Amino acid sequence: MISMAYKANGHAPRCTSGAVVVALAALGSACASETPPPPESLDVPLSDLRVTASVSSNGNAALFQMSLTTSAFVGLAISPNEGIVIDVPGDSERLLEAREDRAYALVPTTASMFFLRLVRAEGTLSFRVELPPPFTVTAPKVASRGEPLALTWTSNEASPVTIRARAPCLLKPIERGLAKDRGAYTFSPGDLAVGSITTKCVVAFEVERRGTIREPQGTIATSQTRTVTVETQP
Amino acid sequence: MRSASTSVRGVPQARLRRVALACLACLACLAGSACSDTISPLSSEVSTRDLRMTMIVEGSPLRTRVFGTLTFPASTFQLIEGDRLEIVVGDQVKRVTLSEGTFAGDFPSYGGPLVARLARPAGRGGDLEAVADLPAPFRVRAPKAARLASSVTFTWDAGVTKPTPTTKLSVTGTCVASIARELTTDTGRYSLNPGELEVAGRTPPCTVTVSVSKERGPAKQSDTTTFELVQ
Repeated sequence: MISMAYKANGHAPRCTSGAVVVALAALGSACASETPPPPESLDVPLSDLRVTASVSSNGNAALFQMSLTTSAFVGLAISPNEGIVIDVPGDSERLLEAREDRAYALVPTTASMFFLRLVRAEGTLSFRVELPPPFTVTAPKVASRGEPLALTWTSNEASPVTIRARAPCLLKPIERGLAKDRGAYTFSPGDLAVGSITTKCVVAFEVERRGTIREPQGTIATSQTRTVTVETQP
Repeated sequence: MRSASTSVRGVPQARLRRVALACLACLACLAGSACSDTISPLSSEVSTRDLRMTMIVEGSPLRTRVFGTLTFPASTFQLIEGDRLEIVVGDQVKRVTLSEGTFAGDFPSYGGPLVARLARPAGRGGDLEAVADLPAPFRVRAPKAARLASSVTFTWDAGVTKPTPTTKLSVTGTCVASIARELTTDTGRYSLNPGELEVAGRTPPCTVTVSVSKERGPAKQSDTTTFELVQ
């Protein structure tokens, strides 16, 4: 027996078994080819919600992204009327914009501590979001690709760190991961592959320091990213 | 009552059955092998233009190994009547045999041009050659021991040969993050940053293997060394 019934927001297909086998088969195949829309977050009680979010700062702005599931990990569409707020202490509050199963906000701020709140009449789900410590990357303005190229910043061994080098003139982007952020990374000669060895190549070096906040009702990936550019020469 | 195990002429029936089964098995083997075997053409019947030859070379400070294939499309063939397969490494010429379409040869450590050649008598379409240019042998050096929190530097002979080979470095070990790098500029030196070998869930000490290779087309020169990584 086929019985498919979705709690829908008005436009979802609804299929039930019937007496006419042919019609049932036709309906069945039609329904099987469509993906039912996810349930809406407002249909789930606050206590059953789980938050997956990421918060990333580049020192001038913080990007918040969030999705919601049930405690059984069923993905939810974030209802437009769901109140998801970013609270920057000593500054302002900002609503996240919901788009289908994600909510976003780009907040101009240098802060590294926030509160992420999901506010309803039945209560509030709140997370304290502390980003890894901010830092500044030091690098030479100009460097020879034939010499080691050193990047330095303030270390924080509690965090893993990823260092990336990107430039249109690089044959391929470079990514290095370190389990502990030791506040320095030196690229060896030969690491930076450019199309022509005689070419001046401006490379953007990005250092991403990461953290994770785990709470009973959610997991938040945090990061601080800083970028410096270096003009590399043969 | 006569037992099922005896026959009318005094030969045990079970023995006759075994002999019959063995004969049948032999016939099946003969028939099977006759059907499955294809006759390899003789090299004297094959023109050079229909032959394909490939060669790869692996060099190290200890020896040079050459592997190759010489095939007739869709089958192997037998070398006969004046067709001679040889590998030329520097001044050394070594005649090698062709077996199931493949050949191989071992030579002392070497760097430079190599040739695998099928030398043919006149009238068979000329000689066939595969060539390679093996980068010069080198030694990779590492410290005897290194700390996880310190940088580690490996060195080797950079060489100045043209065309420049592709230099690759790999670092592996049971307690480290595996690292593979392709170096666009070979300065004969590469340093790993402090902590770069660290991987969550695995703790030194362990033996770490460092391998550096220089590749030019089908020819690869490499060397390997180890060091002890400690906390």
